[in-house]
Amino acid sequence: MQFVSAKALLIGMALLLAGCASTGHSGLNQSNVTEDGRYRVTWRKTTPEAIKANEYFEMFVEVDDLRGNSPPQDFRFDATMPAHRHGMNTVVNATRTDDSTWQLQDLNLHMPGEWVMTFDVTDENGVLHRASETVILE
Amino acid sequence: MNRDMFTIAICCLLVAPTLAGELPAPIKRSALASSPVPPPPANPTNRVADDPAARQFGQALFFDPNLSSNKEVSCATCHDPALGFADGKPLAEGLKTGSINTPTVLGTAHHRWLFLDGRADTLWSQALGPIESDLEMGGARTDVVRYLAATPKLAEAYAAVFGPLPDVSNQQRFPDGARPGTPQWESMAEQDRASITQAYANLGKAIEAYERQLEPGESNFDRWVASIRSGTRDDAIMTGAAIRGFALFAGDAGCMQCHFGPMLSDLEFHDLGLPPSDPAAAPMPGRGAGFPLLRASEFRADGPWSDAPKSTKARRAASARIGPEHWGSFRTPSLRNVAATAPYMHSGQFARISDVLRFYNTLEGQVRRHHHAEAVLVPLELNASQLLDIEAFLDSLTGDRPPNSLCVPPEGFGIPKP
Repeated sequence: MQFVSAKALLIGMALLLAGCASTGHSGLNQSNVTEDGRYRVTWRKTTPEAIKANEYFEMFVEVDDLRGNSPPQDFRFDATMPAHRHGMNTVVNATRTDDSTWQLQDLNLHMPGEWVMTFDVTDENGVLHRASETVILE
Repeated sequence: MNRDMFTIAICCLLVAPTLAGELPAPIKRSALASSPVPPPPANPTNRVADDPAARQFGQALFFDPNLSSNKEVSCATCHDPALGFADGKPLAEGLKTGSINTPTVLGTAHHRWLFLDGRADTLWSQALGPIESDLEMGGARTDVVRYLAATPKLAEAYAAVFGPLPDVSNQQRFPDGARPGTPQWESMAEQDRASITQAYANLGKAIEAYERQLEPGESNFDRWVASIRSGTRDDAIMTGAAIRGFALFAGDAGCMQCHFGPMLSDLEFHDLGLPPSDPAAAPMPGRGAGFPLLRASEFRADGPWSDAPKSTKARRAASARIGPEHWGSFRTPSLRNVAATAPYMHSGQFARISDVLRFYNTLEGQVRRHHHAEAVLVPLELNASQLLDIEAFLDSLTGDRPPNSLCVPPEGFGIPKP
């Protein structure tokens, strides 16, 4: 149940061509930039190393302020299957480990297919900045 | 040539030669990911889950009707070994007729959530529910413990696994019929309630130890996949229809969106918008009702009676989420042994597999009860031949029956065969 690499690659290439910083989904230290360019969100899979359908996993997420040096006020992660109109069946446990890093536990993308992961960063003024990433699980 | 015949002919031209040669890579990957069934996952919340003495004690309990209020209903009443450890009825019938179809116990130790609405997160906590349900066995934990204490063989078997039973000889401290929610229970001291509940939880753990042995059994599909894995693919193990059916199942029909992995289930919850078996009955909330029951259960994996309340297994209930889309959803059943466990769906809506496939094929009668409902299903629009192929594949999932020794009460306990 690894990622469908060909389709993911196509999406990744399309995002790169569109100026996004997506680096695919099969390895560690993947990143993307929020839609307004303020933050870079880098996520690192921990256990296990590859996301598989219906297998619990954990991630570390690092949020870098590209325009300043203010630590984010908050960070939230979610994932949904737009075609199915549902999200995950778990509540993600997010623990802030330092000013810019969160440990995410209890993640489970429980079906194969297209998932959209969203990384929502709240800045010092309470404004929400969103980075998103599409992953396709086989 | 009509449209169906034309499609069949095209399928024969396109599919049969492909399957006769090298399997398409995605189909092969799906086959290898679907078999064999591994041993059940460890359950650290039950320290006797794989204890031989607990297995035998649990087997005695499973077949013993004396745990019920009328001494006539046992676990095996609804989970009949002769009927694929189900009951062959649309709705479960214990002391009364319930509202849910009886799922098989075969392979149940692989499930993440128990009961079709997921109100339990371990097999041992599931086993405790029916004993005290007025619809099913109507028992009470004090009566059950008193019965064990009065039955030397069972008391010995309990003691060998868990230590001595609590002394329940004082009728005032341990009144008959005491279980949570009754005045008798409220009259008991907290310490006495705890000692009875500990013993009661232990019974569930013994029943789990027995049920963990009830595996789906090796099927022709498993044997076929084993031949693929070994590099000597032997299509004679399966029928041609079953192989074509698997290719459809894993391919264009999209069945593996929910039915994948060795158990052919995502182990989670979905609302298919099934037509109700009784249109006059209130819609069933499914997970919408099961989730709060799970949250409230004293027997949760992270609760006081768990043997590992901080384990990863115990985290699952704490992190489970309920959302609007879960209302009306039920657990995806395993398709292992599906041909042996008719009728189908959570209310036994469909008598035959062909009826189920017809529903998926057209979605005729589907009921969308709310706008939050998920949208996983689209009509398959397969032809009659393709539906028969999928049915043949599902037939190929019938596994070898568990050993006879697991299908009857164990020797020496004086429990009659059901």
